[in-house]
Amino acid sequence: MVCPKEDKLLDYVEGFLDDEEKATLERHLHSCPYCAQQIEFLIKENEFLGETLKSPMLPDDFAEKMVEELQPYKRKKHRPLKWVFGTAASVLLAGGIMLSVNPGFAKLLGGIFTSDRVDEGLQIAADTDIATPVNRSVTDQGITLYVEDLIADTSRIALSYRVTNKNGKTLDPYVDLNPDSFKLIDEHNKVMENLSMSWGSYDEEYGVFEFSLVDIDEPYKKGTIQIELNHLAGKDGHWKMEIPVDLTTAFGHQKVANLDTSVEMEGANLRLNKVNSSTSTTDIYYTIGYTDEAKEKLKQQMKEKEKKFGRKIVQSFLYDYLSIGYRIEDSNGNILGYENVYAEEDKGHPVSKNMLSGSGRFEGNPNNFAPISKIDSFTPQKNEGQLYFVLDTIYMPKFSDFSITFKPDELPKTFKYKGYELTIKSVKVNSKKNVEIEMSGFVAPKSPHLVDWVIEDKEGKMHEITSKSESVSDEKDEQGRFQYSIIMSPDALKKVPDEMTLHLIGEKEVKELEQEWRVPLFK
Amino acid sequence: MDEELRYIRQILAGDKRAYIHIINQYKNPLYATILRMTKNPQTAEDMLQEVFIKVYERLPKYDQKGPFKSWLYRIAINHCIDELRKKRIQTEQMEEAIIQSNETPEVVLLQNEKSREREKMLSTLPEEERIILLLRYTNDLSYAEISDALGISIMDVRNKLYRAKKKLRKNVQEGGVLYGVSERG
Repeated sequence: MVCPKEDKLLDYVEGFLDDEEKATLERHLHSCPYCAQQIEFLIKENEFLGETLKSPMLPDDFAEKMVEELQPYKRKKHRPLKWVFGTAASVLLAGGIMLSVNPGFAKLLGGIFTSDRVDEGLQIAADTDIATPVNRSVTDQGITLYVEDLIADTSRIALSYRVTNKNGKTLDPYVDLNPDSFKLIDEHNKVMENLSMSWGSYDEEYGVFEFSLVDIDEPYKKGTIQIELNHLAGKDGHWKMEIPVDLTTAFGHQKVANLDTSVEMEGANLRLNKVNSSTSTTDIYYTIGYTDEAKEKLKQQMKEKEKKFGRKIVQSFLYDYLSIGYRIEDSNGNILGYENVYAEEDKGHPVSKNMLSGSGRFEGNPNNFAPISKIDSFTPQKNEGQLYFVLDTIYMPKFSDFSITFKPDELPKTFKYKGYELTIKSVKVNSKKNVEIEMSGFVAPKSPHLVDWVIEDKEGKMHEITSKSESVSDEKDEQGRFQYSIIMSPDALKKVPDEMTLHLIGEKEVKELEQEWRVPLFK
Repeated sequence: MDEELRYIRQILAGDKRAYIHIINQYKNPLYATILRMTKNPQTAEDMLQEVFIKVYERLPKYDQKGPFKSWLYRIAINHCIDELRKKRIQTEQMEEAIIQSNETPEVVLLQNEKSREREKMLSTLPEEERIILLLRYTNDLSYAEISDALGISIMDVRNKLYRAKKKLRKNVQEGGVLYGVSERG
């Protein structure tokens, strides 16, 4: 081979060559000390640029000073609350809690619940008789916990509070959520167990605490909320308070439609159980499972996979369950809400509309493909006419047969799989001292979601991916594909192997239904 | 959840102090970059503040799924280019910036001597080539991220980066200051 031009050497150093070109060049480098020396120079040049161009630096307090001048966010579209506890299964499956916010309503209470800083369901409720002022406080160590308002709905109970010092200055309302600090006690003095709780802070001024009641077996009627805190605004102390709760009024406003209707489609069995319309939420209860045929097929495939990858690795895939995409629309076809990965064509990532929260629990052993019962809560629908639940997509888990073997020091390497074109960019040890694999590239719309990856080292040992972070951008390339990147890491692998195989063992297929399933709600 | 995304959600939920983490993550490489665009430490610091304010204001528009880094750099670079053009900032000689270093004074002196030469050479590059070089080596952006931030193709990034490096190397040879390794004759 004639000595390559300098650009080719730069391409090599910058990782711009494809596998074939790289191999040819490397063969040349073995026999040409001159080019090898040039490569060494170019690498050192990059290192030198990296080291020297990074100075000068800004003072350490630059960020602190800047942030002092900024106004905190008071509103905006989405606000996540932190959900904790609940049963193991419901924690596992609870989705991100997105609260959508719109302009405020009446001023019954005048506090945070009437502002556009909380979700629209709470704002609607603040204007009704299920909202009551509490105005109770308790002081210890010079710190006062002041509970302002309460919204007691059949699907959730929310209270707003503030924390102040002796001079009345508002302090950070952060509380560490645990089952001992917030308890809901029923009229027979029994503590309600395994309730989902959430907490959010607003403008460093208000804390909002919430119990979710959507997945309890027996309806909660009345009792007390007991707050008992041992740590508040950076101080140890004891703050205890009891607040009476009565849902009688809320039950008066509640409408429940028992639907109890089911359908089998594309290997999935969906039963729509009921719809609950409370003042602050509309909750859809449904159960989804595999048809017997689909279950048998998966079991068979699973056995095969277990032989190669081991039971533990293969079974973890079952937790990423069969799911559905649906919308709620009125009789004119106006869409009032949805939970659907591909509801919007120009989005490369999952989307939902007007959805407040989602939770679910397995009805049996997940390792045996048990069905799952789910509750999706939406902002209350203002539409008075007939509403429909429309099932339009099934996301079906499937075992995959795809592997790629590579040497980490010969990256990048590009591969294609079912609408994906991905480049393995690097394999390195990250700050947590685990091996980390980075891939990026493009994904065509409605490609399957690649759920479960496994790493096999040169000795044939399998390593389960324990941490995975994916992102899909809404921006498309000229082929209409979305930008995609994924970083994954196996906990048990601490050293980068010379050679490794990446196995994809599970994916979720997108099955759009030609014939949608349409069910009227609240007949 | 990605740590950066967690901070972003905290900010949007009203916790402005979470923004400190984001600023600290990007402030130094961005400052080093903007300084070499404005050539004036005070202007660079002011401009960087404007960038972080703009990013803060636009945060609700960030879709939380795409890469945040690319999104931030797109705002930063566009803002600086716009401002530089608008204000027609005089590209005075860059003032001696304080170099934070743990080295002994002699070494610092030597580094400063070298860094002055290096800055001079860097300033001879056309603006876009200089920005690409800085985004690549000061900010560790990938070709795709640079292409995204500047709105040019990846091949353009590659070609301009190589051109910039060759020019720098040529200047190094002519100016007699070495990178610390020998260059082919």
